[in-house]
Amino acid sequence: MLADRHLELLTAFVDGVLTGRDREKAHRLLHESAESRDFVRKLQENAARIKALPRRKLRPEFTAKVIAALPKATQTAPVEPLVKPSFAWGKAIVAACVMLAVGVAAFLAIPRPQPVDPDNPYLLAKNPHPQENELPRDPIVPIDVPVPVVPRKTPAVVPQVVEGIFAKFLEPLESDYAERFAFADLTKEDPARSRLAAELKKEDAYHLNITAKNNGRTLERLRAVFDMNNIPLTIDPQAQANAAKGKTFVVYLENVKQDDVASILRELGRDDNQGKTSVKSVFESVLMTSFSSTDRAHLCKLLGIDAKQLERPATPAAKQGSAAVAIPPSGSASAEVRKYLESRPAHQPGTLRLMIEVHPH
Amino acid sequence: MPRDDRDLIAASLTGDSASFGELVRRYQDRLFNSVLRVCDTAEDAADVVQEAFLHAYQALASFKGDSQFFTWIYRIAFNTAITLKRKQKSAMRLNAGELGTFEPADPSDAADPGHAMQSAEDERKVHEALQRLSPEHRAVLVLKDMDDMKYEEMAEVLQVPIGTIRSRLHRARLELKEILEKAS
Repeated sequence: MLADRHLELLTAFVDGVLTGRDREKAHRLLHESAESRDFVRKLQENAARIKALPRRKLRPEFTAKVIAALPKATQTAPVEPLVKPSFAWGKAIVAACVMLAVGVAAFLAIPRPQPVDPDNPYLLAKNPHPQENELPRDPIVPIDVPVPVVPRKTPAVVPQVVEGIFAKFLEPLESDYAERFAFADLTKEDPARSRLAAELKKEDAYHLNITAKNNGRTLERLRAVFDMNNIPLTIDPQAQANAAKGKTFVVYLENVKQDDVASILRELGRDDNQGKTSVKSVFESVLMTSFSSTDRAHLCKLLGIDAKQLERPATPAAKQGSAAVAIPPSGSASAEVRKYLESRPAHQPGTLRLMIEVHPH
Repeated sequence: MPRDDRDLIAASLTGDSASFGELVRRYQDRLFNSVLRVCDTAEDAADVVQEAFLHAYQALASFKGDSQFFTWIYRIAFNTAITLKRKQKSAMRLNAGELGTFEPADPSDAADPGHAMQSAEDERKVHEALQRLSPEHRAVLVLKDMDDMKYEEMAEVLQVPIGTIRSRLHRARLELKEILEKAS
């Protein structure tokens, strides 16, 4: 059962109004939850059905009818008396007396307003056109206008939307403040490299969303690259199973230098040498955003620890250096994860922490 | 070259009814199609559209162009349609006979009666589902999904804050989903 806040997020996603972090959250939710995908698909279908409703035209005479009615529209309708004349006269006299008395009292008691300065810009700016865009509230005038049917090709929107929906949230993520890099650009002398280097100097923790083609080897390839950089990677069995099936998994990496991150990302974009054969990299693009408090809370939940423990391990390992763990997106308390948590090194100032989500597709 | 809305409005204000007629021609069908889904019947929708243009003509001198003429006329029409719907609420008039006024609009339907029936059936289902929503919820769905309006434009048309548009759309989509699921 999806939470209300998730439902709201997903309806806003359908409306296409999400930006930045919210959009990213929606993508993450869609990646992780079949229920959310089903929900969005249905909303998209319904929206498409409304959009596909046939359009009709009014008859050409409609315009002429409106024009013919225009002079009438400027006339003021006679006001019917609400009470019988005999009562009306008596009540009117009483009302006039009361109003006269109130008016005299007000004139004597209330101080006079200062004359309005016509050149006062504040007064002018405050309400320059008090009558502007007022909505008329008169009752509807019934007319007899037959409405003909005008043929229109109904677009087959629904199937397209249904087909497109999965591709849509597997697209590289976009964000107002995020940086996105294509792995292919990072493997060569490209401005993307210097942009990445500059970006890595801005924060001490990042959230990376990586999209990759699914060949069942994404985690294996990641581990090989980590090995090259002397980073031990602990792998939760469920995360391994996810990776093998082409499903999302999360990697938390800490105590890693900026240069090493650049090197890892660069290496991930290179061909995968599998013995004598060389396979083109499956890693496509990475969206880099700062590691928000929401990310922190989410990661803590996945690892089953609190924010303090994330910052500083209760019993830090004596050894220094980087460490990483791969977990499923639903979190894990497996023996492997517990072992990793018990052997985490203390945080080294000046190094980076990364929460990496890998989305094979 | 088609004349700008502002030119037509200026000419209308000098008494040139033909210019106002051009404005009517320009927007009547788009307005009618949107209002049609807020009202029960095509006849009601036509009444609302005509009334909206008459009101707009009366108030044209007060239109200063801060918003687009189209947004303004939409605002008048939707306000009128929602008011009408509220009045009719006590006597729901939705029945199969009235939906009969909505003929299949796709020319290919003539060659493919099966498809025509399916289209008409789907239209009937969606139209009925929309009619079961409140006028406010119906209005946001029509403006968003039929007219591709942004939240800002919808807020201007319906004269409510953007946050209200967002929450109304959310509730409207959930409600419509439930109604359509039950119907199928």
